[in-house]
Amino acid sequence: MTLMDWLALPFIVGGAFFLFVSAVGLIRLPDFFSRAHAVGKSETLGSLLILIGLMLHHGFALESGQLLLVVIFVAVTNPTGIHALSRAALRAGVDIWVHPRDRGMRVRAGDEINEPQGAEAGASSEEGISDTGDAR
Amino acid sequence: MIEVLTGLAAFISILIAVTFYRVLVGPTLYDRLLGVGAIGTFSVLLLALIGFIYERPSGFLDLAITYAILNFVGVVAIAKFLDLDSRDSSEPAGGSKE
Repeated sequence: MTLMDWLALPFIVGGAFFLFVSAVGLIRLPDFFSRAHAVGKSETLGSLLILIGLMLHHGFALESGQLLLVVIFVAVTNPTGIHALSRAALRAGVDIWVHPRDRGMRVRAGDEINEPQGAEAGASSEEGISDTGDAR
Repeated sequence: MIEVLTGLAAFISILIAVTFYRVLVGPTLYDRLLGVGAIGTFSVLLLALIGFIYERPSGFLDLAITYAILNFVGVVAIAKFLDLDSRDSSEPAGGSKE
């Protein structure tokens, strides 16, 4: 391996890491918008790092110019396509996941307010208080 | 360096197989389209890597540029079509809001 290969290796390993993060996010996250967030940012960054690593590996040649075209095109079009898809999903009314801590807030303008989840917590705390009272 | 690139190509192939899970079981149509777009980006990377593995990168990079353009046009066209579709109809497509 030459010096340029050793320069290219951190870019390629970092790109592989970000691609792995994007695939895990696409599988594990709970709703469409968080998955779009994982794919739109992590996968773009991983692709750019791997393509820049390939440019460093190849050196100064015509193919590096082609790789630069691919870099520019991926950097512009990947977030654009996912943004168009997310806007279509938002207008179509795809369900938005809400953390249980944030139930009772309005997610979007015009939505009905979510079911408040404080009743169980209040009941359990009252139960704890009554338990201590019984112990005394 | 060839070994590193070959290993990376195998890793990206595994990631494509994992991403295909979202295309198969995605709860909404938009999840499936998101998985298809992600697989398209992985394929662009895989084409560039195959070009460098076989030490003939010029032709494969042309294929990668073409595939990136087709992927972008496909995703944006389907997104715009679904947007028009959900705006025309009174019944929303993906959920129970409004």
